[in-house]
Amino acid sequence: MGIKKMKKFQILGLKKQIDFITEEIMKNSKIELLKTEKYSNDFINHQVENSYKPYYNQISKMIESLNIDKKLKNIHFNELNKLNFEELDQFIKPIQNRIDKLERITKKLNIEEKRLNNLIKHVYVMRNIDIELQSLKDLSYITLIFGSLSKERYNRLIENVTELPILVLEVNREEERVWFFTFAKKNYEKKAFDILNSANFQKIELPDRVKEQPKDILNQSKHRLEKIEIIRDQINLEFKKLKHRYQSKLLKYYQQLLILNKIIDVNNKYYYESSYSFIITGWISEENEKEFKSLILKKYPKIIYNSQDVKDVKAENPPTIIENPNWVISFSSLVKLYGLPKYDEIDPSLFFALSYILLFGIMFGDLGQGLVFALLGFAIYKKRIKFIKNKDISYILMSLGLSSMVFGIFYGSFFGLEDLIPALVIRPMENIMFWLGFTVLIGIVLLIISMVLNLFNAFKDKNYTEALFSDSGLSGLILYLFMLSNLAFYGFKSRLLLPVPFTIFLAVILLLLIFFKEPLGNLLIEKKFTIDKKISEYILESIFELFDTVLGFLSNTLSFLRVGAFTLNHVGLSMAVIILSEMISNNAGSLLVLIAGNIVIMILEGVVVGIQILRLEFFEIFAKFYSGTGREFEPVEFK
Amino acid sequence: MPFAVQYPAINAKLKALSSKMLREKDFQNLIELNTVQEAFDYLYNNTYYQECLEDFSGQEIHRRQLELKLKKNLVLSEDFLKKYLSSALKNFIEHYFKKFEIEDLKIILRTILMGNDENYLSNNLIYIDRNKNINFDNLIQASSYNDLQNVLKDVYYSDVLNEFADQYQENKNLFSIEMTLDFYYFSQLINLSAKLSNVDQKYVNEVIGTQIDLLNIQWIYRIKRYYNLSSGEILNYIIPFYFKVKKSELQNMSHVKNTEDLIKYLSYSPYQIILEKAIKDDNVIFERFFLNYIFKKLQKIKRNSFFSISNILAYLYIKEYELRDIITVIEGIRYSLPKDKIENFLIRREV
Repeated sequence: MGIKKMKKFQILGLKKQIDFITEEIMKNSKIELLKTEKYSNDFINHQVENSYKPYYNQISKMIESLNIDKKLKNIHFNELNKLNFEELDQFIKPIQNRIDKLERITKKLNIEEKRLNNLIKHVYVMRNIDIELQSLKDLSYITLIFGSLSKERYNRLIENVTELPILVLEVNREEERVWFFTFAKKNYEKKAFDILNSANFQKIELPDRVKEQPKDILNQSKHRLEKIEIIRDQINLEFKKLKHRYQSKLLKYYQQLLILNKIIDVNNKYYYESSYSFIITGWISEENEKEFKSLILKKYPKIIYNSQDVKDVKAENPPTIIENPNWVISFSSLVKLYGLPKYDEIDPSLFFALSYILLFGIMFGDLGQGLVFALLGFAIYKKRIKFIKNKDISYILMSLGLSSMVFGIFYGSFFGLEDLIPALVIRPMENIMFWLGFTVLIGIVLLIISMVLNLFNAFKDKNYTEALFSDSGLSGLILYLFMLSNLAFYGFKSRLLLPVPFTIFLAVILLLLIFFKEPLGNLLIEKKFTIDKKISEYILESIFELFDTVLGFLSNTLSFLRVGAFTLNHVGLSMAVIILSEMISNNAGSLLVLIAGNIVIMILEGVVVGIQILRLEFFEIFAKFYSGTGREFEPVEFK
Repeated sequence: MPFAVQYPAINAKLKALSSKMLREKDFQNLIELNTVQEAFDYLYNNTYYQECLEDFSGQEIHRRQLELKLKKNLVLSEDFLKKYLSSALKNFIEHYFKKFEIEDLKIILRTILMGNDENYLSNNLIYIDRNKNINFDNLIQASSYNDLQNVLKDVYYSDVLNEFADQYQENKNLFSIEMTLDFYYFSQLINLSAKLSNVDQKYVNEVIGTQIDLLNIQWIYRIKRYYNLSSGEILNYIIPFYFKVKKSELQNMSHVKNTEDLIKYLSYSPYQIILEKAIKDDNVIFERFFLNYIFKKLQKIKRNSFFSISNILAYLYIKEYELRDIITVIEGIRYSLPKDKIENFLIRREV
């Protein structure tokens, strides 16, 4: 439970062992290495040329071209030292040549296809002209150029060609491009091309051999396109053959190179070396360390392994690994939306999960709909639903569904029908005021818990200013409780807990404590009643803060009204659906309305309630005690 | 967010940042130094660049490293600017920074053509690694135009690359690709500026319009001086946005025989003056005059309005020019140029 204890380790060893140590670290896969550690000046970060990288890139590319799945299920580290570049070269080269050749042909085909399609498109425009195109091309005094330009460029060309004896004739126009003939006098041919090229003109060759009219060109082009398709099929077949024959061997090499390449990358990135030895630093969790340390010391007895506990969290900035039961971990992913807990902070996941489940049940209590959620979660858990593979969702859905079912039994609600089963505890719709008050009470309990958690965090952090004098510390907590008890007392007995002057006196004292938070804190730590800022600034700021605090107590508490409101909302929506279904006279129809209505409620309200709770958790609860400024643990691993 | 609401916060921030920029005295001190190391020490100890140079403190510094670091620092302002801005303005600023990406892309294209190694690229690219749609490792390993097309297939200028693929294979000429990329950049920028408020558009025209005008004049001026292209070709390559130079003026200019005649067709007198000075100057570097002109313009605009884009534009340009001047000085020191000569190459130096 909670956050794993981390240790910072250093390994000092002989340079020749570098690769093996990296290999062990990668095998372990739960170790983070540090790059910016300061060592003595004898150690420098030495870059070695990575001769595996080109091979690795080449093989990855080949695997991609052959359409082989390169996701490796588990990575084996054996046979690493058996990699022989010569053998590899001999193996790769012929395959590479084949692939290159096939790709070259494909590319040519693509170009040819594009050209033909282009030609078809343009000749199609001229299909009704019964002149042989060839005769236009063979004019003795005039050159004919056919091609296209972007619209914008075309317009500029028209403006800019005024001084040359050139005639531009538009043939076809689409959204962004214009196709046109250019006629130029023979002795201006070069000039015409210069200016066309400067506008990035794309020339379209009119076919040489064809002597016929446009429609014959069309037929011929179509025929050639069909041929291209046939060649394409053959190429695909070739690719499949290659894949079939070399897949396993390629993947074997790929795996070796993946590891070797990564080893060198890691070496270059994290290791510092002197003339004979190397040093490396990283983070490892305490439980993982035992195993890793004994393993590595047994294999390489000559290295020096050294580790220490975290002493100063701020300076060392250790990464956070949250450790929780599966169903809580799935809620952790929601906590991460706010931020990861700091290393020495209380992990709020469990509290978050429990309160989320509780609030969801209260706001969305329905035996039938809850069952649907739970079953949906179970189906995802059992991998029955193909497009959702995320386990987190299954746990969340199951626990929320169960909670919804329990509260459904309490309220006596089944698919929105209120009269099918008896209410075990209460029908919220019939006791509206009581229900709203009750949910606010739950909110008050949650708020008090989060303020207590803040006290824990602050004491753990040795931040006594925050613990004793802040608005969510001890002073704030007492003030909040004092205000609440007075309010309750007034509600029941119509008088305050203590005599009025005494009440005011106590409240003012507590407010003053919060107001002078900073100097009081300094008094405690440095034994001096001082303020770091200008006095006027501090006073102004504190007045606003105080105002915000008192107002915040009120608004945070009342914010939980929405919990009750959504319970009622749920009943209300269900009632609307039922009324709608009763309006339809035929039975099948009303059943259909009932089902559709329930689906709408489940999706619409399910989402809204989920978001509202997230809002309550993040704004009302987390803001009180949780910083969420932790750093993610980034172990050395294969991506 | 409406435009006016966005500005006070960002402008206050920019005011604070601008106040830290290098002063005249800093440049004078820098020019007096003798080695790159000394220049580094000066920047580290006396200017706001300390933070960005922290990694190098206590190490021996190389000119390339230093320049790369400084340039990378320049593009960092994109992050905080974007934090303060939203909607159309954010899009505009986001695209503004793409010019660095396009410069990077040009370097990559040239590298592919000439065949430099990976390290050269990672030592010279300043912006493109920030683009999340590009796999940077694959990018610097790309060894052919084709590879490049693959790596950049999801990026907005992939169309340009595809359009020129055939032509590149034929003549290995990057000229028109680069021109088209620039053209694409500016037209996109102008399009995005159309969504800004009227006041903002005025300032965008004032700054970027001036820049485009002067780029076009410079283009024609260079062609007339060193090359021989037909007027149609010249006009095909200009950036088709007109601020103070009319289209007809550019058309007339594309016809002249001598560079001196260019002035006759320019009606906007500040441009006339710049061009005249450039022609008379022995070094014939038009760019110096043109950058200095924009620089002076920015200094004026900077003070104009607290509720418009003017401050942001001024900040971006002035910061870039400051960096260019610093790099000019560092290179001058490295190649032991005489002090007054270095001085002469500074954008901020009156011409």
